[in-house]
Amino acid sequence: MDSVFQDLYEKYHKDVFQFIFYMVKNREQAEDLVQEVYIKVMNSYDRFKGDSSEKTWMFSIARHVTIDFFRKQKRKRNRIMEFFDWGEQGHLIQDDQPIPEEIALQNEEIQKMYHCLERCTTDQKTVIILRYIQSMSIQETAEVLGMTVSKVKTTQHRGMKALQTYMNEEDEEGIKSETK
Amino acid sequence: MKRNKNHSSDSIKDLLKSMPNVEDRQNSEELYRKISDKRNKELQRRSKRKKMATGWGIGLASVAATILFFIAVLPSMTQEQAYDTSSSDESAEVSRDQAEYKAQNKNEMDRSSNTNAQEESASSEKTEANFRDAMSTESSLISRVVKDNEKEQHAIAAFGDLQGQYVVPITFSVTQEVKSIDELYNSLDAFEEEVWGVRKYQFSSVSFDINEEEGVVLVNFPEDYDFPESSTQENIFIMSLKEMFSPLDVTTIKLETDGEPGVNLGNNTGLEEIDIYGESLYKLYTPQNGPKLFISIPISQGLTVEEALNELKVDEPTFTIEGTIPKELEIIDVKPDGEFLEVNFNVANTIDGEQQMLTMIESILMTSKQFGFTQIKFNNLPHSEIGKYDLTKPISVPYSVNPMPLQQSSP
Repeated sequence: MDSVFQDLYEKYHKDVFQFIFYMVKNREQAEDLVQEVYIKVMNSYDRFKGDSSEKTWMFSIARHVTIDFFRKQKRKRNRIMEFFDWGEQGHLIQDDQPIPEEIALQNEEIQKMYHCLERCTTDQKTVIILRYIQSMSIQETAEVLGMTVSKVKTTQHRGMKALQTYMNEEDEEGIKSETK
Repeated sequence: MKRNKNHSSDSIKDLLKSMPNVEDRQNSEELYRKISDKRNKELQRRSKRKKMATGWGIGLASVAATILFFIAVLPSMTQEQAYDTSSSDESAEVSRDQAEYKAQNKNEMDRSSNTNAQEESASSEKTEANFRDAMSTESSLISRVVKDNEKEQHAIAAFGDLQGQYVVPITFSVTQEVKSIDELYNSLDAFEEEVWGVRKYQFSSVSFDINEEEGVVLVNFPEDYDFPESSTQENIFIMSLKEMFSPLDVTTIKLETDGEPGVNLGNNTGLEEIDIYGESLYKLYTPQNGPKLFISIPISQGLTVEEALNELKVDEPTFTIEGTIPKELEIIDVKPDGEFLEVNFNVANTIDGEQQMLTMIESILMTSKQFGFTQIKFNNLPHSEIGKYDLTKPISVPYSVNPMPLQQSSP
């Protein structure tokens, strides 16, 4: 086995897979995409100069791979439903996916959060996953996304506000449906 | 009964941090095997593509020979047709071209059947036929636009004109599903610029990552990329990138060198982004050695669509560019209505050649598209139908200009 692959796998695989999974919300798709990430990483490893950390470089490739996946999904969807404008929320096509067992086993609040994340913009969702699920620093997140630190802070702030609203809305809906 | 928790920022953070770990069920050996298989397949595809691109190059050499042949014979033929007083009538010219093409094709086919022609010869004939088909309409007129359709995917390669003033976009199309848009753009290579009378393609060594979701194209240049140094070259460089991606759903082109943000142009060090905005005119580029192609000419901000269309009358002989609307034809007015535009001509005027009229229609369609119009209705033209266009009805604007076949070079 290639030593580069082995080294990267040991150091980052769990985190990179989890990041992709929370981005695309589909285990099989995440398994395919993580392969794409390693292919890109291994094809360009010789050119990696160490200006950024190996970790953020790898996550940045993972991010590009998932974004590319969303774009292809959108195109596919557009072909099927050309008259239906889904706007910027193209990745919502994945929302029909069944809840994976890891999430289904969790309490109701976690399951709501899993759905609410999907209502954020792609940038907001990416920042929130990297910051709070992957526990990356603001600086690392900025490197992965090619954003400035202040842009990450703004996106994070807006994303958290949005999540707060969505979670409260979900609670309201829950109350309404129970009182009916 | 449920209680509204009214989530705070802290409780949201806590919830996010409690999201469960999700692990990959593929073990490292299994994953490595799958990756190796995919990498090997990719290498095989690239090698195949390279071979086919070479084959396509050989085919284009034959097209070059044919075009040069027409250029050589055309003046004498024009003299023979002394009764034809209209020097700008492309229709006659095209008919002659087509006749010569047919004659030449027939000769080549005869030769092929008689002499057990080699594979390369067959490939050349196919390329010639496809080249002609890509630019022709059913009525033997040359159409220079590409219509958007569900069955095809298009990528545009942009080339500087020989004078280094403007950009000539050329559109390559493949059947949907054959390639993704990224793959298609990244496979643009091996052109015959001399045949087309344009400058060398600048982006063969560059990788494109197109993200229509975010409206961004990421263009990554290799470290040793030879960036333009003069302002003229720089202009062509920027205009080319804009032209290549303007029909896509993107607004920003992000530039990187070897994965790091920014490129160093002569007058623009550390340029990180180009915004795709601004309008262009589409006139006819007529290089001495090469086919007539639409050329994109940027226009100054604030110009109205009517002013832009009137600008289409102006020739630019210094740059071998012809206006596409005959001088004698008057656009009385234009009536915009949302994305719909009516163009009213002076009924008294006529247009001699059908080809000239078709070129004018397509030039107006493309130029109007730049102003956000999607449907154009032409009023008071001397014909009710030209080429594939029914002029009694509004016409949808095309996707892009200058179609070239790429299908035969695709895996």
